[in-house]
Amino acid sequence: MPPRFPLNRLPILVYEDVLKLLDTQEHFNLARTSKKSCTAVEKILTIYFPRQYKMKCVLTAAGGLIIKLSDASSQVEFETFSFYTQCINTVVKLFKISSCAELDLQDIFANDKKIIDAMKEAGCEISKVVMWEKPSEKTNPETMLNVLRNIPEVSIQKMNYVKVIPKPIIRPFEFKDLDIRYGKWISIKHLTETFIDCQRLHLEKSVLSDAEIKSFLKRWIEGSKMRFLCIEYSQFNLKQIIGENSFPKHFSATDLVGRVEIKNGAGISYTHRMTEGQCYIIKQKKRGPSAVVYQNDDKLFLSTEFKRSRY
Amino acid sequence: MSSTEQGTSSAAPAEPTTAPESAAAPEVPESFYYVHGKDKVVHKVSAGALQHSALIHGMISNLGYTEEQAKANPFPFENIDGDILQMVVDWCNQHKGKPTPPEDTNLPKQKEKLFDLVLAVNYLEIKELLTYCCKQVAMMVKGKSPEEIREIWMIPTDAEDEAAEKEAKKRAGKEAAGETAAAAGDAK
Repeated sequence: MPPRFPLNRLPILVYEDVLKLLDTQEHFNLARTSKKSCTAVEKILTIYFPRQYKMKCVLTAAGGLIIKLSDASSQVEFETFSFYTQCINTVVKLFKISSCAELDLQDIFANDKKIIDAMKEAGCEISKVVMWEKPSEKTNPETMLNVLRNIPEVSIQKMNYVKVIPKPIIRPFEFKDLDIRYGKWISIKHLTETFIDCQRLHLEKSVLSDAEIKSFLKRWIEGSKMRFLCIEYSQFNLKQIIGENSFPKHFSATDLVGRVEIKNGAGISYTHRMTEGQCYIIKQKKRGPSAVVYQNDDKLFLSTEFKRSRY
Repeated sequence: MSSTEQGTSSAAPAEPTTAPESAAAPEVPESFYYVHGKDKVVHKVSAGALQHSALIHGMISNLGYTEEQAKANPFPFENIDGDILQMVVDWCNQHKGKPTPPEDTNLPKQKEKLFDLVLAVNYLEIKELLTYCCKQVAMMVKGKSPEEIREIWMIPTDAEDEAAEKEAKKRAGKEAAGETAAAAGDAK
């Protein structure tokens, strides 16, 4: 049996001297022993080791929660396979974390949800979620997205649900950035109703017809908060969708030829040389923004941030 | 009162006999003081060694004892166990007039005495030794899990803390009630 030492019976200044000698991992472990210890460690960290950590978390497929804290000069990791809520609470309280920059969820959906709830309970905002559904699960995508509703940036890297949901039953989302890599389940209704006010939308494996894209563009012209869209699907024919005589006259669509500098909605610019029938400008009603709609590398894009280049 | 003169034991560094500096300047005779703990065993310690203790150093500076007076009036530390005081005196002798190294290998190794040692060192205000002791305490939980830390540092659970708090409140209430009753009795 290891020697025992009644730490709490030390005079307060000596007690604090001992706490000052612990490293971050030890501070965290001590704080988890009791509420009193947690308060004591919090005091020491606030006075003697004030830091502004950035937090990222991973819930692994094996159910381990890894909390990574980093600042300009240091990095520390905590791992636990149980007591997620207590762990998150302790880290948030001790290190005064107000937001989680990225939450990577790879476990079963129920556990993923537990982590999101624990973050909310601890008063920690989540800036971004990256989700990987386990092969053994097939969660309804709308249920999954609803859990992520108030998170600005969401990336669904793996999703096993493949059946198209023709009539979405969920109320619309307003994600700042929504990235769905397995979007077979997405129907035109999702584009025109559920995701129409998402600022940046990236879809992969979504199967949509030219007519459906046309109806989406018409809907966008009527009014939408969407500023960037990318659909990775090679079967579109943009000329048929938006080209001459295919778009109603009361919708303005101009063919754009030449060099155009276009931003991807995440601040990165690309310059393209557009040929006839490859790029069109459409304009939203009610003094809304203009956008370029173009095809490139088997992808269809819409972007409101573009600039025509002279050369 | 028993008296043993342990401050000049073999653990103390030997005095240089032919140092060139001492040949140039006449040597000032070292003054000694006497301390005892709970066991009343008196330890003779040089003023140089006692300088480590801010508390004793302050007492010495204020008293201006002669050797005889110091011998007749040992500093009493009734709240410190004899063996703990012995450890402290030994440490002070070993580090007399020396810069303290960053890692001290001369610290007492008995972990079960560490708590009493920390209390004594804190009371005697021996800053460097206190730092070493705190390091030893901190080292006890290196690489340990929260449960192991709770075990080693005897940290009560939240439930135990709450129960203790309730008990303390109850006791305080009873004491206050007793005092009120006594005051009322006095008034009559």
